[in-house]
Amino acid sequence: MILQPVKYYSDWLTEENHKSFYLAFLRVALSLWLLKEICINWNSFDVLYSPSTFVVLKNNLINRLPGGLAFVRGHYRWIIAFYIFIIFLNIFGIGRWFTGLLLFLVVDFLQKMNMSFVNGGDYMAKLILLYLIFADSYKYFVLTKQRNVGSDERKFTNLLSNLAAVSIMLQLCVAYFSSGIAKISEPLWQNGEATYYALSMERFMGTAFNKYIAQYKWVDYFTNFSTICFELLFPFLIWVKNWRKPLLIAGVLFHLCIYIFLMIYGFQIVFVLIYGMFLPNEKLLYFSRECKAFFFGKRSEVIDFV
Amino acid sequence: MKQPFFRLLSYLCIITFLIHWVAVFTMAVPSNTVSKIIVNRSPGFLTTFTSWKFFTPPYTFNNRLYFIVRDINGKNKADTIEVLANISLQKYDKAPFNQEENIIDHLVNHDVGNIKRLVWQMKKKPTGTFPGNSDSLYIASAVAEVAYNNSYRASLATLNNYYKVVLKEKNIDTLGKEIKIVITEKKIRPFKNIADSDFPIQETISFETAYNPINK
Repeated sequence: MILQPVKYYSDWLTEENHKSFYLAFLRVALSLWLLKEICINWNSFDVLYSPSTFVVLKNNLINRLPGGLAFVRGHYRWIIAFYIFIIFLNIFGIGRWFTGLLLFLVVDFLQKMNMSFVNGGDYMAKLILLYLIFADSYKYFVLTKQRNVGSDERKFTNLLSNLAAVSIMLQLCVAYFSSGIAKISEPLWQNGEATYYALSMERFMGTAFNKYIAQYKWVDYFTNFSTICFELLFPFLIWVKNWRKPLLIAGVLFHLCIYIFLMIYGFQIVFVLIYGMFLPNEKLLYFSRECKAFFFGKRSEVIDFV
Repeated sequence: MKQPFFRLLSYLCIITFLIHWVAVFTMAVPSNTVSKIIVNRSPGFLTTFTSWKFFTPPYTFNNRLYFIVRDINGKNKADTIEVLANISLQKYDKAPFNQEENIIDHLVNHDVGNIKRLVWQMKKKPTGTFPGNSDSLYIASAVAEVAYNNSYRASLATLNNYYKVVLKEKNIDTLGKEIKIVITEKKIRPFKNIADSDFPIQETISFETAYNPINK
């Protein structure tokens, strides 16, 4: 009796890579997001990583490296150049798993070089990169086709890819759920006052309307309790087919509001990028074909994704 | 490659996956007994698993960071430079293209928050308002307890470096001057007094250093 569902799930995990398209899309999209972060941080690299920065690093792994922090900071431009190179390799799927691993290590290293600047979005991006190391995200958006592998090896890579895909989805659910739990055990969130304070903080005053909006108690109550409901319900209801679309739309609106009103930018993009993992592979493939047909017309039949 | 090899590998992967997720769930749920025991026994373990809190608890105040500069001989009036409100204003003005300001905001606020957290993790924060009574002795005793903490020293060193950047930007002559760093909390008007625009906004001092000569 117990073995039957175990067999069902183990077959399901090995029969095919159920998220092959979006895993590939996520690899490219996340790499582009990292490139975007490099571009917008370009003028601040001296402050973030150079020896002339005012930031004094707390004790971490980098201080224990040969040459220590001074050596690393002295050569930070080489690290950034290597980082950009690896990102491009990852976009084109060159080096595959090895490049994925290198990219994860470089991102982790750069985050350790200045932990003060790492936010939840950066941390989530790093976790996605970690899971992507194990996933076969190279069926689409790559320069060269994959070599043919034996059935056993294929089944094993399918298993790894599916576990990685499930891990990325679970990671988002854990982030929302633990945040929701933390909120319901906090008096200001329980009383419906928390978003009033968040909107009133100078650091996060995204628009001139923040103070105006926060004056309306019903707005504060609504945003406060809907945030808690969303964070607590998303991890459970997202697996129910009928709830998926409304939850994803609500999630996009939720992150859009944080983006606009609280000026927290990169963070929202990473979270919303994960949403695509909850959509069925076939629908995404159909949508991508429609997009290609729209932009490239009949030629798209020839220029396939591989 | 033989089938038993892949089968063994598959089982290992599934077991690792299950162990990983049990650990993540255990560490992610805030304030649970198991995670508290693990963190107490091995504090480094926590860094592997982030607990996601997003504005929990929300701050009910805005931080203020003052650099107070005066002549060492104390003859002239002191210059007081407030930093954080100014950074927030610049960030707001340049939104959404404010990444340079956003970076400075994160770097400075991170260390301001860290100093406050470390100094007051075991003691109750002082109540003296700023300017005026500053509970200097009480603050000094709390600071003395963390004076040799590496994280505290790194954060204070960051602020000491940052005041040099600020003074240079403002073209303030540092010769023969000394400086004092003050961190305060300026309360946001309480939710229950939301409509009372005359509500007095209190500013409470939460950290201060003694006057120290400015090092070039």
